[in-house]
Amino acid sequence: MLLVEDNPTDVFVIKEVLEGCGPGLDVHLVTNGHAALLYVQELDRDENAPCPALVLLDLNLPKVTGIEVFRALRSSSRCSGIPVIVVTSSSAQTDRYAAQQLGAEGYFQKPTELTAYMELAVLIKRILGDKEEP
Amino acid sequence: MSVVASPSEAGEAEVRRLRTLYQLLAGLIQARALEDVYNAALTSLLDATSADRAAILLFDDDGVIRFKASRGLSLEYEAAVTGHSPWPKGTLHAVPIVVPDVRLNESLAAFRKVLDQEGIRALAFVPLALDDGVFGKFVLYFAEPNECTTDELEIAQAIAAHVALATRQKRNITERKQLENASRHLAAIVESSDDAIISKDLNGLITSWNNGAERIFGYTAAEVLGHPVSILAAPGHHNEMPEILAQIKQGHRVEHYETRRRRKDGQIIDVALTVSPVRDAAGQIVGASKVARDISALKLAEQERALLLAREQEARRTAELLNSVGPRLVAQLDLEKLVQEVTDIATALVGAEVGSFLHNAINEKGESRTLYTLSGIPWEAFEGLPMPRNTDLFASTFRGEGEVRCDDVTQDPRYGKNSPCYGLPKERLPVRSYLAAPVISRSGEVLGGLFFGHSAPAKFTETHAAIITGIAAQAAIAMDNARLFEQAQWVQKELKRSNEELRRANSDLEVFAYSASHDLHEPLRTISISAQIIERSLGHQLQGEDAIFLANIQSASDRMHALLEDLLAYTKATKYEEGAAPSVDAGHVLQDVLKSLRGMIEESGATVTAGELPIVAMHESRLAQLFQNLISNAIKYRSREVPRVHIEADQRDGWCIFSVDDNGIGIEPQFAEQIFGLFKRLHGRDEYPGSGIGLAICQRVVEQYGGRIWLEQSAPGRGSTFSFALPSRPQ
Repeated sequence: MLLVEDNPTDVFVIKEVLEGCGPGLDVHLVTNGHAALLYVQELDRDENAPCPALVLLDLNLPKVTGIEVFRALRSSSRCSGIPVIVVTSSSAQTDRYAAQQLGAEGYFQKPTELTAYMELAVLIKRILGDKEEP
Repeated sequence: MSVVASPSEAGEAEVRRLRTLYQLLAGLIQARALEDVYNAALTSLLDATSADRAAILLFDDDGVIRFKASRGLSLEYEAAVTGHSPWPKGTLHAVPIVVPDVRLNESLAAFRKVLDQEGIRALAFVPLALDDGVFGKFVLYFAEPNECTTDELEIAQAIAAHVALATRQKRNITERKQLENASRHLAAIVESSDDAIISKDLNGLITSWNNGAERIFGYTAAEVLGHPVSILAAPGHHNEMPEILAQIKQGHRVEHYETRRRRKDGQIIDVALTVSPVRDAAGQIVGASKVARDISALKLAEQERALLLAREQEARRTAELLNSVGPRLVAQLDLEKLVQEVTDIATALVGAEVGSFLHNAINEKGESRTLYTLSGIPWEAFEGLPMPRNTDLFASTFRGEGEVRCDDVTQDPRYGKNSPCYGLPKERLPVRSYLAAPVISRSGEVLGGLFFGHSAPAKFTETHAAIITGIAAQAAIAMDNARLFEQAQWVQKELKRSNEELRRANSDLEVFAYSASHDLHEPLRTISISAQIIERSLGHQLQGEDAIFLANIQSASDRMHALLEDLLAYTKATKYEEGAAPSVDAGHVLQDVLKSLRGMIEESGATVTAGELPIVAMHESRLAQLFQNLISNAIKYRSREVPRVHIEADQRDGWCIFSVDDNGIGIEPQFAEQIFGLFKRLHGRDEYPGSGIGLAICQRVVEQYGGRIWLEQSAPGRGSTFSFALPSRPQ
């Protein structure tokens, strides 16, 4: 699992969410867009490196935007089909549209209520579940 | 004469007849005129015969015999029988004819009725004849049928013979007198004629000379008679007279021949001649008669008329030119091209050597410069020459004081020493003829001046001045138009530019609003989530005030969040709406707003009523915002009573004034202004929700449409009335 997120508080909460989705979920954290691009490049180069089962992607990232990372992901040779959930505080129509165009599996707007954050788990479980059952 | 008396009757009768003849002869000798002759004749006839009435008729030149004198005949009778004669004129050896009874005479049958009416029963015709035959007759009239005696006829014939002679003689005399009179009359005509009537012989020598000739040519008759007519010839016309004479000798007339002649004093005059051949009794041409009329005055008048005609045509052509100039000028909206055209046209029209149009131009920066156009002189000639200044000569034109026309500026003391040779290089002559006119806009502003010069004096006439005044007027209109057009274009450009800026500002604002909002929201979210995480882990451990403070973090960040939302809403609500405000039905908008507020209205049990609302010029969303804010405020700030809201509209003094009246808690008057401030609230958050931007939004919106909003009336516990006014859309 790849988590691209720069806000530490959000990282804390999302990690908690992922723990609630099931044991043995390995999370690799990248905190800026540039690092995310490098990670994707590395995956393309190293055939042995496993592709993540899911990408949780924030949009407002330093250096390179989330949408750009998303595009890079979609044009990756090995990992273009990976499900991506956009996890962002942005409510902008343009962001939603871009995410839709790039085939995001979900668009989760970060809430201000902690409890509401847990809804993310539902979405993740569904996607992982779908993946497991071919 | 003494007559021997005879005792016999026949002798007496003879004596009587002789006496009659003597009396006749005496009468004839004494006769001065034909009338006297006729009179004497008639008297004798009536004396010597037994006729009741008598008449004398003579043949006139036309061959018709007419009554010359009569006794006792009516005019009707005379008219009826005129022309009747037993003998044709010139009959030789005619003898008297007696008609003893007219009723029995066939040849007079045609006249029977007339004779009857006149009471004539018998006639006797006695011929009047001389060596050349019958030239008239006596007629004796009898009331009773009568056979004339031989004696009567004899005496009548004797009388006739004498009378014939006397008549012929008198006629000759009369003719001669008539000829003399005619001759004198003709002479008088010739003498009194204003025309010169001159006759000459075949050698061209003058044989007669009338008063008119003396007046026209100046010579007296004595001076010219016998002299050749060539003394009258004018220089350059010497061949005419021999030619005319040649024509005359061939028997031709020369009519209405216009030429020139020379007077005695040397003056050359214009004359019209008519020359005719003069023939003698045998028909031979013996000379020529010339009638000469002095037509100098006529010629002068003709010249003047031609001049007037030419002037009139010129004036008409000028007017046509001016008329065509107008549309050309007005069509030219490029100001600089326009003034050049004006200068060119005007310079050509007045025939100036140099023409200039000085005018003020204002550039985009609003600075004024004097520009000038030139016509007639190439630009190169002006390099290095000074600009025309506000000297005496130009001053009045720049002041707009009317046109100036000067035949010779170098001579005119008004214009000082400043010769306006500004336009002409040294090689050329200085300007002497000068013409100038101001070009004054309709607003009275002096736009500039038209100036024209010519090196020859007195080249510009009043007509030219009038032309220039006309052109100046048209140029002013055209320039006004061109300027207006320029201004309009400039305004359009400005408008476009400011619209662009507005659009940019709006989009900048939108971008800013969204990004600022997002950027400001993020930290708040982190604060909120973090506080919740702490609360989750340590909440149960916190005691007393610590728990409260933790809760404060949450609530403060919530409030901040709400403020940010409101700020974003305010920014969106007060963003300048592009485009002209359309006409919207306020009633419809209100209904839509009430629909969207249905939840709030039902929950509070409020009744919202409205009077008839007009059409207003406002974007629909903005009007909806206004209504929404005011009505939700009215319901929110309700008293213990069931809220009642009423909306009215009124047209007054060009404004459309809406009022929203409620029975809510009311507002103290000292806060009437404050409540429109951004985030200004009169109550705590716990009492009434809201961030205090509703009225601020209303104010911004209303003001954007040129209107105003205010608290019309309010008192605590008695509700409030909020009013807003919008400019009425012109119907």
